[in-house]
Amino acid sequence: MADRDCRPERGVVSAFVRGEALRGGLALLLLLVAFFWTPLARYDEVYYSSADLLQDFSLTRVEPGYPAANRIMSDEITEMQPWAMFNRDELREGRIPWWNPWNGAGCPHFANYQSAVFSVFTLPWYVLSTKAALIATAFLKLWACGFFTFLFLQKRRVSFWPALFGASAFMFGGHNVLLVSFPHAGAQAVLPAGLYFAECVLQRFERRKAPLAGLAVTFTLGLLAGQPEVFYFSFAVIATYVAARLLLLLRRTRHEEGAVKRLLALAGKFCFAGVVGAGLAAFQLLPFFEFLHHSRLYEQRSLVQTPLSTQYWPLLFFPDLLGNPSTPWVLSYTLPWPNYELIHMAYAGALVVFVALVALVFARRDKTLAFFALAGTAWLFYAYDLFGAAKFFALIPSVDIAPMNRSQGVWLFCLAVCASIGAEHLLRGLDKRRWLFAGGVLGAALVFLATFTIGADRVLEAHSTFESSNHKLFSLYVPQHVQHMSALFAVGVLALLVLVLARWRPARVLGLLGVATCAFLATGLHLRDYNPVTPDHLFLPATPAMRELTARVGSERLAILGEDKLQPDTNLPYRLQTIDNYDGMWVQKYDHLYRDQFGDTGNWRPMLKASSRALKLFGVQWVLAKWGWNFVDSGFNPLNREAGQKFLIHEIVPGGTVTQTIKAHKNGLQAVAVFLSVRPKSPGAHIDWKLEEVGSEKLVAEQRTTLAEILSTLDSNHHLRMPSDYDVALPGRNVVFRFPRIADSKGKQYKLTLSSEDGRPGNCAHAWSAPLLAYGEGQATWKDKPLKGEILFDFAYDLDRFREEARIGDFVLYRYAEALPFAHLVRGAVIAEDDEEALELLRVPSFDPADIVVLSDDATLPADVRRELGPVDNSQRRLVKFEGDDKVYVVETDARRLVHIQNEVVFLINKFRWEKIETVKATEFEGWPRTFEDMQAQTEAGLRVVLPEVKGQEPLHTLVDEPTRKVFEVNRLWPTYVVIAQAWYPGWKAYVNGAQVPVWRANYAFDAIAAPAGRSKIEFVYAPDSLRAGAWIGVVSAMAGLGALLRRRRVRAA
Amino acid sequence: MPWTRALPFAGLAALFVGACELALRVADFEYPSDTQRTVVWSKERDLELRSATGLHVLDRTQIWKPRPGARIPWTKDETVNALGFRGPALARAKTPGVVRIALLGPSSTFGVGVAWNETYGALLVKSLASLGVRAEVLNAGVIGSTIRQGIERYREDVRPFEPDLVISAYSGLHEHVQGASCTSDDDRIERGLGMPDWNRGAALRDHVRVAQAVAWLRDVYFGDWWKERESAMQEVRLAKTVGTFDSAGVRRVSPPDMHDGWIELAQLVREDGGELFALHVPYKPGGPLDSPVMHYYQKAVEIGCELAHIPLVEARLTYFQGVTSGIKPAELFLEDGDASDCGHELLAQSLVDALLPRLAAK
Repeated sequence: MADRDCRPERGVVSAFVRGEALRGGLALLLLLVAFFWTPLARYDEVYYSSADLLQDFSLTRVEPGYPAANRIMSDEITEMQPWAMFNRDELREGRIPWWNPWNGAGCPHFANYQSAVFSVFTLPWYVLSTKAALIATAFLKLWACGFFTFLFLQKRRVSFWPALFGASAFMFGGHNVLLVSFPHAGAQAVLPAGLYFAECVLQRFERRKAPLAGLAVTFTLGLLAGQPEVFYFSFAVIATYVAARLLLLLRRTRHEEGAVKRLLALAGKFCFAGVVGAGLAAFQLLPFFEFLHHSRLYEQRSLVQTPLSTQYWPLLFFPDLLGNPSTPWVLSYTLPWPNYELIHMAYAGALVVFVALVALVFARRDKTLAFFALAGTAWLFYAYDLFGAAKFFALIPSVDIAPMNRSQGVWLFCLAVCASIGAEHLLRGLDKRRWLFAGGVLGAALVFLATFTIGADRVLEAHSTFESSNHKLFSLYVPQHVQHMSALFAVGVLALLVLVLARWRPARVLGLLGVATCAFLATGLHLRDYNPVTPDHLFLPATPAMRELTARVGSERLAILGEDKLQPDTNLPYRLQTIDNYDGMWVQKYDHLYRDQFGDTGNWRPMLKASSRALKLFGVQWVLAKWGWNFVDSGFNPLNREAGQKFLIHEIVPGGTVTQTIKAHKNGLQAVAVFLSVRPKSPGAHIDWKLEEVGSEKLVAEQRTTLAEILSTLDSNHHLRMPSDYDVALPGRNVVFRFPRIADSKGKQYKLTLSSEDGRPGNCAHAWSAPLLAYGEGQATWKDKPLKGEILFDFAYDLDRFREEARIGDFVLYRYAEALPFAHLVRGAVIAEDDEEALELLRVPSFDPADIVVLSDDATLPADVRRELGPVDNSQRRLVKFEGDDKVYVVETDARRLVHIQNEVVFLINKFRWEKIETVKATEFEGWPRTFEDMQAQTEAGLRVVLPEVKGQEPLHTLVDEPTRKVFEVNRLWPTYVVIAQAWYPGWKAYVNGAQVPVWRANYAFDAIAAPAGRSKIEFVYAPDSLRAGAWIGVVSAMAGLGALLRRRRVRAA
Repeated sequence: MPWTRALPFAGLAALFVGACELALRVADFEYPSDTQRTVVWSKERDLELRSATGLHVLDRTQIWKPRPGARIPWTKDETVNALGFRGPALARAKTPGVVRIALLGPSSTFGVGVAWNETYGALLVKSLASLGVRAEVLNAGVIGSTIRQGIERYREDVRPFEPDLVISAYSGLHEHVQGASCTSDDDRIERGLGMPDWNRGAALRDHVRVAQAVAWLRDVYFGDWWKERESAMQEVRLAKTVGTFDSAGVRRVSPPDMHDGWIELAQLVREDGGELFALHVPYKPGGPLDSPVMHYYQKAVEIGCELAHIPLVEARLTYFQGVTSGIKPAELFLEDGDASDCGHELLAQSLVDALLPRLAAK
């Protein structure tokens, strides 16, 4: 490539000696200072973070109504930044952050990959303050992308200014700029760096060790940078480039003796560098592959890739045509579909694209240009599935699962290189036909501009009926945007014409500078504020609510009910342990169970339903409920949020009493929550609540609530409607009417009455009803007339299990009295033959994790345990109960007796089914003896029984509680199971009294260890074999690499 | 010779322009001059108006009206008569003993989808004749017209014929819709807004797409293109809300103007010695016209008629009676909601029932 060029070769050393690399690096630094001007100039006031999004949530709200600067930049504050802080904090404690105990009942942190623990771009977090690290990390990522692009171009004999132009074009490409807060931008630096070192190797036939080592280190650092998919595509381009270069070299030198052998050896060296590089990063890769295998990622992806959309092609010129979420001009956060970032990751600016197209004129004589032009074109066909090309690319192994929308960096780099090389050719000066060339450029530019402007107009027309209240901002933004971008393009083209036509080289350089400046203005400067800043006081604020919450909960496990919560993983900096998790991959079994028990919702996993059984399973000790509405074990909350459903409004005024009857299905009715709205100017009135037993008209409870109390929490600045709130015209919320527990409520009907003596129309509370509701199996009335359906309400039982500990803002913090500790002991166990059966068992209302553990029939279960505990087939057994009696018996036909099943634990572990119980008359079994709570009889009948626990035994002691190591002490008369409320994940090992024992998957997603009788010390450690294997591979790779380096030295010395 | 050196450049430039012209045509790009761009009726209908060979022509005061001699497309061989009305041309002078009835209204009055002898006007004459009343009808209906256009139609074209009775069938059908280019009928008629000067003829630019593209780019960057674009997009959005009361657009005739229009028409007709009747033509139920706003317009008509003492012929009642006697509702309307031949029969019947006592008294 550029073989006929007569410019002398430039090595790194000579480049540095001449100061070009230094000047290039400094120039790129200056551009970055311009890009980061906002966070730098306001360093004392702001953080370079989208943490202002946390103002949407009550717990972290400091300024109600604060408008988030960019609503779709959520991942950086819910994942990337909390993880980086966690990395730092763990390292400061002397621990490597292998495991995150604070989310998802524990989850792999290092194996998560995007946590990028050992990334060179995470280093600033370890040595600088948070504020400085946020900027430094972003700075480093972009600079690395730009600087190595510059070096690579210089290696390809591109002179200073065109190389700077190419470096700047790539550095400020959409993928890098929009994702600068993500690991993607850092991982993207692999592409130019790898190509640079590869080029050094290819050009220096004798002295290759340093660049080969550099290549290996590049691969290692790239693999540690935290984004495997971006690395994958970059590696593919590097490998293809090297292969193409080797083939060209072969073609040129095939007549030389030993040429093939030398080139094969060279290819081997490249492979070796790749293997060493991957080997050095194996300690990151292998745990990551293990996590992939145990994550939800594959089931989410479904192996069908979604090509990018061609309908938004005009946005390559006018990126903000349909809105920019970092400006007020936003039609929708899903426009352009699916969002701004995904569409604009391929954005390079119109001028760069145009110059790259112009550069194609030189493709015949410049093979580097030809290669990258071809690579860019191939990418277009692949990513946009032009003419169905994606399926051909998918034939290449692993391409089918790599997501297309992580490959845009390849496109940007190809454009940047083509544009740079084209600029180099122009800078060298055209000979005779420059006027013809200039005419062609001008004509092409006009066509280019016209085409994109016409396309933009059509895109606008296509979206003119899009439902949005922001169309009114059209005239404020769109015309200016189109004119601005067109002007930049026009000035850039004029500068390009100067580059083409000027005879004097300095004038051409000025022209090129003009082109580069316009390109920068259209990319870097245009997108500089896309990543927002957050005022200091809003960055992960220690609000009174958070301070109190963390003081009370400590390191125990908290469940926050509803959507207004602490989004995962922002709990990490606050050191608050929550059971939700957002790592983009999710430990599969845990996530399945979580969504089964708490509702199948979005990425932030809000709990929209809950049961006490689930709280025990997940080891929850604390519950935080907004408005005090603790909907554990109630059923209405997750229902009826469909968009467009309208509710009817009912004023609660004298004569406008609202009533609702409820049928209680259980004993222990203790609270009713009614969704009420209050008009903004209604401070003075009251609502009176009354609960009466229907039939006896006995007054069960009554209370009075002032409207001011409800209104104070519904102030328009204070209250933010969450997506799961009811779509009602006036803001409202659940208001709880709590009363002493009604012990015998089962089967009875109650009437709730809401009335007001001093409410007035326009100055009162409102209840809402929906015609299709039948949740309470009762009747609603208003003004003594029956309503269709029911009012919006819910009811709960047995709330005494939750001890109110504090009122924190709009929330009530409850201590769950029946909570199970992190590790607890059970005697009863049953084996589920498959996951479906396990879930079924866990869903049984009478299943209590305190009494019984469900073990999954995985390969981890040894044969003797399987023999002892399962399979159980009692499907042919007859179960009976007598009329008027709750006792359930197994019919022993041969022995002519009825054996009493003494409790629900025995029932469950023998896998009986409730629907199989027959109610019979006593006469059917007249004369048959019946046993009662007789262990012996149950055993003789072939049932599995659980020996009752002997009272007074020592509880389980936790001796060590570290993220990756727990030590328990158990002292029991009988063998027992230690059930640990930690997400089951391979790599956790258990040692009982020093001997390794298996860790079983328990309760679908957690861990269980069998403890023998007597006193035992149980050590539970995270020591994944994948990590160990990866580390050994790394050691071997390092030795191999060092050996190769030293061997060359010794050979030369000899 | 220097000029020979320029020849290849000229050739290339011509080739370039030619290629651009072809590309723009293939891409269906168009940007005619503003006189050609202004939307008067709708984009599709304006082609007909502009061509001056369709059923309608542009008119300075009536906005559009039937073109004399134009072929009526859904009929076998009917044309608009030389005076610009449907049906046989009447002599200016009235025949003694023959009641002259003028019809004003939109498409159902004109008789869209039916032959002349199936229109309610023709059937009315026939029915009256069978009852011994000699009558002739002047069908001044105009497809897509509003009462505002109807007033001008009466002034210019109907008044000279001195009709004894004028039957007007405007009830909000076209009044409630968005005015094209966000311009009301009153603004077009009174102030000439949004009325293009198509008589000027198309400029050269209107035939050359490259010239159009250049003009368009000029307007995009230096002209008022964005206002036009925003207005056009808003029109599309507002069209969806036209049936709601809070639609933010400009209707062709607002409800107060609808109400005032009836009073004005009544005054005009009475000044000329005639008598005005209002005909309430039913719409296809359940369609887009069955909206709260349409009912509001119809209410405005009823109140206007009451205030101005205009007898209101409620054809909906006749339709209802027809349905209860066995006619299927679908048989009363064409696909697009206009009255079918069966519907016209019922309209004529309702008019006969209303007019006969008046005519008998005369």
